[in-house]
Amino acid sequence: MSIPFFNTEIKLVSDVIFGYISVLLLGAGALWFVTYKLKWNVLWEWMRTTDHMKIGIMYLLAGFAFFLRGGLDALFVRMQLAFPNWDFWVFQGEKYNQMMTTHGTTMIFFVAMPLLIGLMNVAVPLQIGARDLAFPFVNSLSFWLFLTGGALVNISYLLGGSPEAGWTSYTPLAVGGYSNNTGNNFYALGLQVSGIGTILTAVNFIVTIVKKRAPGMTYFRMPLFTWGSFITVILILFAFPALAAGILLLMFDNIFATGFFTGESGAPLLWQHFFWIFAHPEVYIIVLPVFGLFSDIISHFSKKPVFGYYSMVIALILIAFLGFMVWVHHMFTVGYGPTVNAIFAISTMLIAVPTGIKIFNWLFTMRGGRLRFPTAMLFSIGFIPTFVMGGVTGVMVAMVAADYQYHDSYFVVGHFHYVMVGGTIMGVFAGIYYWMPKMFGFLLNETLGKIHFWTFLIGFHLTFFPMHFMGLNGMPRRVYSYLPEDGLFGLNFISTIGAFIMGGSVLLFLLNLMYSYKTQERRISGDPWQGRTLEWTLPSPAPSERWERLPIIKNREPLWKAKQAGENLMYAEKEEKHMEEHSSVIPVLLAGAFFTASFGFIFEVFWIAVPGIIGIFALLAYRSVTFDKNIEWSGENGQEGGNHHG
Amino acid sequence: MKSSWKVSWLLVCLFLTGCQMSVLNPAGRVAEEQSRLIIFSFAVMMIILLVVFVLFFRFLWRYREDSRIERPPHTQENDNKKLEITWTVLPLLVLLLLAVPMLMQTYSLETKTTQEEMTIEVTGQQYWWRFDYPDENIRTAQELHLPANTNITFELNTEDVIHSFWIPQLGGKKDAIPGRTNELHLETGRPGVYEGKCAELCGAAHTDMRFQVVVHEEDDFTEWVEAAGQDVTPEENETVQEEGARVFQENCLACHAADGAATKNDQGPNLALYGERDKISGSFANDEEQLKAFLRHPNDFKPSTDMPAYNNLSREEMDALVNYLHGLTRENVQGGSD
Repeated sequence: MSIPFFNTEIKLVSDVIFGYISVLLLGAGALWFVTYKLKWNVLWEWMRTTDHMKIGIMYLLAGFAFFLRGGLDALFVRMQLAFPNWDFWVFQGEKYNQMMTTHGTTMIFFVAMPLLIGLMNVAVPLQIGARDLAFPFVNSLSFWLFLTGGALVNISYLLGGSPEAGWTSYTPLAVGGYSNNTGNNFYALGLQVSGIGTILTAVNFIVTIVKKRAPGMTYFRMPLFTWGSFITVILILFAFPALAAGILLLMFDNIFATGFFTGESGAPLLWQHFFWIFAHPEVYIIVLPVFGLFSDIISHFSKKPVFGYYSMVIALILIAFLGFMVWVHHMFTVGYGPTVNAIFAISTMLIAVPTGIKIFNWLFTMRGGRLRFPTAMLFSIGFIPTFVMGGVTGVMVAMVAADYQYHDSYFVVGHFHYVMVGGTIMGVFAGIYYWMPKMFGFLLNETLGKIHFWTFLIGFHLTFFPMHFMGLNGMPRRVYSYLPEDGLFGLNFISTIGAFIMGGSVLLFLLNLMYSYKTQERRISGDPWQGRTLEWTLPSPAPSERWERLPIIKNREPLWKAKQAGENLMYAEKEEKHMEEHSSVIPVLLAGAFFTASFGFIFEVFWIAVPGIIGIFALLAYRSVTFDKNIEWSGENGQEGGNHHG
Repeated sequence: MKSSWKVSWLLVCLFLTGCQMSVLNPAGRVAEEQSRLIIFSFAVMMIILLVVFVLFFRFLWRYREDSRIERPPHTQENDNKKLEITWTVLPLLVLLLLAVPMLMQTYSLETKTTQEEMTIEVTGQQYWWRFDYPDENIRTAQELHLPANTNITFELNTEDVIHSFWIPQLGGKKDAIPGRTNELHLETGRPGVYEGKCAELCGAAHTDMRFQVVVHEEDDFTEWVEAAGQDVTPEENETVQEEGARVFQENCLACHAADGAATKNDQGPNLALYGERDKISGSFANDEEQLKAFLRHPNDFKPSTDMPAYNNLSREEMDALVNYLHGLTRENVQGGSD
């Protein structure tokens, strides 16, 4: 049975019905939760909040929800690949392509990005002694735009089909009717809307880190997590516009039948350049903050300052810099000839040097320390061997002549999951265990945490290690099946088992969250880990009025040094003049307008799109003329009232 | 009985996967060089991995909180120029060690050899491969025939989206991209049958866009070329005697030709010497039962294929058609033309 829906139709087959039922159940559950447990006014308050901590928590929650969705996609994919010539449910052909596309797109854009931006929101202002981000309103807008983009890509499955051209969305497959056009529109609009949010986040964090550090917090006194975040947001500012331009043209090709990327008149390879100029830096965008985070955590639980602080910072900058000149290594097989390939191979291999510096610095941070192993530390040290393995396969795939064999095979799939899951996802888990008290004032259960870590680590290696061999045995990426005589069954079967162990491990984490929240058995107030950096001078959870007076920073580890000297941290004598932004409903409304406009474009219904666009501009205009009503000045010299244009 | 056989067969597969990796089991010079480079870089990387792992586990164990080991002052430093320079310079040297053979091979792969070579035009389309032999003036599809020990230049084209031409045992892949012709140089070695694949996502049946590569001894190849070039495809308005040929003419001819010399009827894959092929569409065992199933419901085998379902054929017609297709062998086509 199928229902016509604008320019497409919704085919009501089992998996789509399953999708609708789960959406209804989840919706009902959420409604029940808000009504009986949370109260609507709490929700209303959080929806309008401009507070960095609350926004950070919302990023983490939403990112985690998308993580479950992306993980479910992965399990479907692994089920389909468990046996040769296997038919699992409907996931062959197009449906398989939809699953693997939404898995990739969701995990990169709606899991890795928001989880990291969430941690940045939670921790960066506390680490540099800022009261909030530079533009709290924009921060809220960023979050709601990300959520809108994520929602668009996720509902596509129920509204005529998800994108099915891979997260790379290569043209001409993704244009001109070679694949499901509605799905491709969902991809383009979803990423465009959330990308606007991400660019705004980048601007916000750059200004915050440049302008809002506490007195004495020089650049080289910033904790490495802040450094990693700083470099990341600079990368975002340069990389995301390339994606925005690329998907704008992609959308034009699909909706207005232009021919930028089509085979006849356009240049299919142009899309690959647009995409990879963005997407290669993107992998550094999602890994640099966790590099910083691991430095902080490893130093913390080794009871030693981080080894080679300066070379750590320089390595971050070098990785970011080199990250922009390697994108053609994703295009080694398009036939650009040996010279182009050689140049990009060398620049790619060079990235191993700063990465190696970081690895050895982490190791030598541990040397001579007194190592404790709470879950946050376990994830950090679990990361080191995992990431080194991903790193060495990275050098291997950089070697052009050999890469002709690895390229677009499962070897590459193994490689990038080692760096992305082993880096970003393990980092996010470490960060959540570490900063939990800063957000909620309690610690997560350590026993559950340790089981979570070990199951995750074992499941992870079982899943992704065999993929290297699948690739060497000739299994291309993005295939939904293989033949019995291909000799791929054993490896795939192990991989599927590993995926389910990882899935169970993530559920265990969920259980830990609920258990620790319910029992509150480890409520703490200040500094549970014997902290070294500024955020641990604040009570836990961080009070909504973060700093009465700003701290004065004299060295790189203000809390540790103060504890060593038996002194208290120094604070400024008076409250400095600063701006406070009230909550506002405009970000949510703007996100709604973006959603409406996108919806209209996706289904090419312009009587929906145009009001959406008008709504966007009307709200922006409204905000522009009323923004001073929403801010308030306080602190010294701040008594002049609410309409001060500073 | 049968299930225990199945289980043991699966176990055998499980073990086989470990040692028979096609990329590392080359059947030609290019793949051999590439596998050497892979193994070399793997060995170097293992040394690095070993160094990191040894340091990692040593530090973890020695400096755990409850270990009473002494922590001498030099372990307490926050930086150390000598050490940091060491782990900046050493990796650079290792990279240099890797870069030299890599660069040499990268250039040599793209350089045409002076020896006589063969050119084959490869055209990818959703979801099959066409192979044209311009010198021999024949064409085939889904099954690529090559002479042993020969340098071959593949000219890669596509009719629709991007595909990627990959024969793991003969060498690395290269993309077929709309609007440009890419050249891939490979060299065949020992005779045998190898798997070919499309490595770039090209749509719903990307998985099934496979082909077989048959490498012949020199004279065997010449024979094959001659047989494949025998004109046996019935004309559209010709009256044919044989029932199978008639069914073919009625149902298949619009898209498929039955010999490699045919220039018309090329919408679908060329079926030259179909009776000798191991696989249907490069993927599925070419036996009577499967071929019938494929003809009745091609979509079950290849999602979104352009080929319509032929479940309207009577049992007799189907038998005759399969008989005809499986009769397209060297012996028969040579005999027919004499």
